[in-house]
Amino acid sequence: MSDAVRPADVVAWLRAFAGAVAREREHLTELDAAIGDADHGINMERGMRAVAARLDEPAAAPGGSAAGEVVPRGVADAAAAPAGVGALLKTVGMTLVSTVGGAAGPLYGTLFLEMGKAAGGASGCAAGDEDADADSRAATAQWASLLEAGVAGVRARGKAEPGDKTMLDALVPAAEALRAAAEAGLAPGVALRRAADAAERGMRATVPLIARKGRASYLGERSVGHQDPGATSSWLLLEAAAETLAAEAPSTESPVTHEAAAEPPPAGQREAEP
Amino acid sequence: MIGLVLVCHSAKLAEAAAELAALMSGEGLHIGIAGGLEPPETAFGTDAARVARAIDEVWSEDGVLVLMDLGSAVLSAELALDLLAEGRRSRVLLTEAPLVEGAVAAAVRAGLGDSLEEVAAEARGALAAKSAQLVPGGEGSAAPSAAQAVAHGAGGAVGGPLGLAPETVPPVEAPPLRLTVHNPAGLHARPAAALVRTAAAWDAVVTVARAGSGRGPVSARSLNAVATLGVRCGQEIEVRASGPQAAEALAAVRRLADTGFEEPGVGGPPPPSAATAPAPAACEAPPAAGTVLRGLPASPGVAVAAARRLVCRPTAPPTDAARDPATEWEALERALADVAGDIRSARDAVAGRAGAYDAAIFDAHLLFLADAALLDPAREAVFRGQRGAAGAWADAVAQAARAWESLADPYLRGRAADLRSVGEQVLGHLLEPGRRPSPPAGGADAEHIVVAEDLTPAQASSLDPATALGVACALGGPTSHGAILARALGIPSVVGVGRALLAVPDGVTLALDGEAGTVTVDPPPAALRAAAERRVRRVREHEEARGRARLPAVTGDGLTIPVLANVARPAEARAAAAAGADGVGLLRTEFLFLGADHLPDEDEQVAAYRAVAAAVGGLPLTVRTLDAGADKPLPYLPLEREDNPFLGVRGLRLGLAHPSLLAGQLRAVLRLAAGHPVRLMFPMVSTVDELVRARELLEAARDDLRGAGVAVPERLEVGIMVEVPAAALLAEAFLPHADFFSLGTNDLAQYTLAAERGNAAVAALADPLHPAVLRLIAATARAAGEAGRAVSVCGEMAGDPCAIPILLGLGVTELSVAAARIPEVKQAVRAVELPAARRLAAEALAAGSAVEVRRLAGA
Repeated sequence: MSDAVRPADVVAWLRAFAGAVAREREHLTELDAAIGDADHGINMERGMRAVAARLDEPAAAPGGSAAGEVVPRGVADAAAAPAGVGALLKTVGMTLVSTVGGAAGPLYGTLFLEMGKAAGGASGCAAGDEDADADSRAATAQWASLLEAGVAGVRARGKAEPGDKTMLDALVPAAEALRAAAEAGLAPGVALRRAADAAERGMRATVPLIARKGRASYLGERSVGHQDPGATSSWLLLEAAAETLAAEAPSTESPVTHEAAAEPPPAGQREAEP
Repeated sequence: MIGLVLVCHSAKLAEAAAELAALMSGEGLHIGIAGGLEPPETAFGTDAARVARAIDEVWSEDGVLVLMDLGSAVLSAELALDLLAEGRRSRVLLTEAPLVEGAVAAAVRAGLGDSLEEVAAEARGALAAKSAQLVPGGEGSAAPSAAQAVAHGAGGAVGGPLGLAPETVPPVEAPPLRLTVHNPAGLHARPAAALVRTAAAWDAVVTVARAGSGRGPVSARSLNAVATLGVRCGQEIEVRASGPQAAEALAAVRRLADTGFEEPGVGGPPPPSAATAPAPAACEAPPAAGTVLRGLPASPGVAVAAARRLVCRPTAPPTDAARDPATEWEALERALADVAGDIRSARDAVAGRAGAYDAAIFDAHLLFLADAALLDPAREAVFRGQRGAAGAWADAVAQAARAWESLADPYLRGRAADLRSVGEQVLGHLLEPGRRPSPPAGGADAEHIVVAEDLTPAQASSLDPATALGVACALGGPTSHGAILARALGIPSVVGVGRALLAVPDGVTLALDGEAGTVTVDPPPAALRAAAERRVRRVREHEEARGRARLPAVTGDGLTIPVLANVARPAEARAAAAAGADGVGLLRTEFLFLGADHLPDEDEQVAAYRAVAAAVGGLPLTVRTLDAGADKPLPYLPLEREDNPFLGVRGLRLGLAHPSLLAGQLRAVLRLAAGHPVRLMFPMVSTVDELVRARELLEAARDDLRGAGVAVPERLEVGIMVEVPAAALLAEAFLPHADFFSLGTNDLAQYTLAAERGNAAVAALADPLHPAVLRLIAATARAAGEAGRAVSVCGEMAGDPCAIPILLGLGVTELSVAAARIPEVKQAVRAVELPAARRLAAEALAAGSAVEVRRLAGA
């Protein structure tokens, strides 16, 4: 397939998420202190710092990781992509698995690994330079497919459902919103904004819930009244995506232009290129 | 064999759990661990990639069982499956079994080569024993889950659930084996694992039941099942086996039981550290016949005899019926004096049979009796608190002992035991005047092995080696006072055997091996034979030595070495002569002074010395003048209290400081010398001037006696004890005034290495085989040799078979040892070839440490 989702976008998104997690470290840890073991912020920051470091490596290409396959580059990214999106996401997943430590490690790890698998295996629409709109729509559709695959993985791994006061309370509505936006033909920036907003609503909705999974479930009723830290970091993940992609199409909900899509990535991201 | 993987948040926990499991499994089981995050991260956590790697590391086509702790460990283990190669996933099983118990149970079962499913079932059932122990309602309530668990795992040869009904037991082909479990905690996990491993090694179906309880039989293949039997210390198990190797399996189980199921202190391999003795909790059931109790070797030799418990009657603190304070206080003082007398005679007895160094243990006890820290509070309580003597004393002792016990230094803490022991003795005298200082070891007329919790020095000194053939102590280490004294008395001894020993009834035959450190209870005929043979061999060697004891000790190349005796009392002189001594190399005259309440006058001394002379017939006698000091005070001789008595006024210094005392002794020796071959020796000489002054006193005494018309010999050989490095280094300078040298190697080592031999913390430093000490001996011997003078060694090293070739190689011409050592020392001399001994001595002088010297000497 061609990557409608561009590696450079993924890289920018991950950097933004790493920044957000670092900024919100204390907040996440405070939330976790209320109903968990007060390490979510620390763990996530450690994991995303490791991810950012991987992105900074000269050979950011994840070719040597568990995700061995090299994905053909999209036309738009022919010159810029460090590697295929699938391989990139799998590297992120493996890095989180090995560095987060808490339950968030295997869960976020699974999220990215499953996204990576979906990116590697999904049939995307081959798009030509001449059809920027189609390109944009394909990108949104692929974002939606990736997130759906990832969320399904998290759901299976954690054996949790929405309403259990977990990451899924943010991720599931986000994936649904993203799918709806894709079907509406919206550009990725706009679609991800909707997803992020859905995640935020889901996150806030965790406050009155009784935790049914993880350490917080030990508290039973006492978990009521606290926002779930996992749902919060998941919202940060979506928010980072929305902000990253919105930066490419700042003004409008209309389909992105060919020029915008073809813009080279910011200088900071070029450092990561081979 | 399947592999095991443990997944934990903590690397340490994973490692420790794996180590625990590996202890149980026997050889060959691969246990992989995935704990914590990869370095450089140090946080708790789990890492699915690491789990996958661990699985790959222990990979076996038989499968891999993964156990994990909680939370992310479960998620990471599941994720790890996704990361594995496709073909491996189906042979990896994640189990909800409890991490530690499950790992242990799984390791045992896996070690037997059982299938992945069987091992997993065993792991899942691993809480059964704990439930049986802890769940309210007792052992029975958890049985269903245990049964279920084992039923899950039972496969292949075993079959059947935990509560295997008797009729389903396969046909029994070997008579059942009944064993009593002596392990203090019963058949707990580790002994049970040993049982499972042992039973499974044979082609037989083995079951275990707790005799008389209706529990079991269960498969001996399942750790859970065996543990669930809840076998406690002292209970019996019944082991049955069927199949081609049923008999072998039962024999192996019996052997295992003989070793206490491999539990240190009960039997089995020696404890990892020989320095500390295991002290397992009490087990009241008597050990079964054939049980091998294992402790620490304390004194070599083999003994077979009936057990006889040395009973310590704890003296109940009295209820006060206080008379007037003066009477009470007088009673206490009398008791203190009585105990001091008892301790002195015990010390002298030990000094005679063993050596002055060992006897010095008692000196500390004597000091307690005069300690203001005890006497002041006791006096206060009697006179101001109107307490009775016994109560006042008991309180003072208890308080002081607590103070000792609160100290950080383990040696000092150990003194609390000495204090309590002395305190008991005094209390005994107060409450039962005339009572013996320590209970004699039973009737003391028949041969026996003394069984005791620990041996106080007083008890040890009361042992008669003729009837007390061995000593076995439940507590104590090889450096405890009781052990040192047993060794000194030549009584085979094992210490730190554990409390199971105390359950042995009197009269049961024990075979004690003081070299292996074992005590076999009611030994089977074969063990009895072996022990008897060893004993016979030792006795034969001893007899051979004794048979030749009266013959001169001549080296292989023809040099005769006089082997003399160290003697502290007239009775010992007789023993020395009987043992084949060529003379007395050291007559300690302290016996006359230290035990007396007044200064013995000249006539008393002459009488005592003549008694010794008569006891040894015509053998030459080396008389040493009084060797006292602040460390060995004389009640009638006021001595300044010294901070450091070993460096103070002692030895010849004391004699010169009290010239009338020394002069009296010199006159007595001169009178003795008129009718007997005598040499005179001065103790602890440091400078030539001291010797010159002492000789002037001697000449004055001779003139006195002559003037009074008393017969004195024309010539009396005069020598010095070389105990101070200065004297050894300047031996030549003493030659014009000294006819012979006698090396007191105990003190010489103590002064050379600046290590007090009575202080356990440094005593090991004062090794006379240290090359520095040997160089001082060499310097002394060289000076003496060039002048053709005799040089003797009268320290303990003279009786050490591995030191003898070195001493002779250095040029020592005489040895003086405890009477009991004479036959063997003579044998050792006969084995020496001087050229080889000189080479050995030269190498020893060039060595860098005592350890190196001992290695050279083959010790």
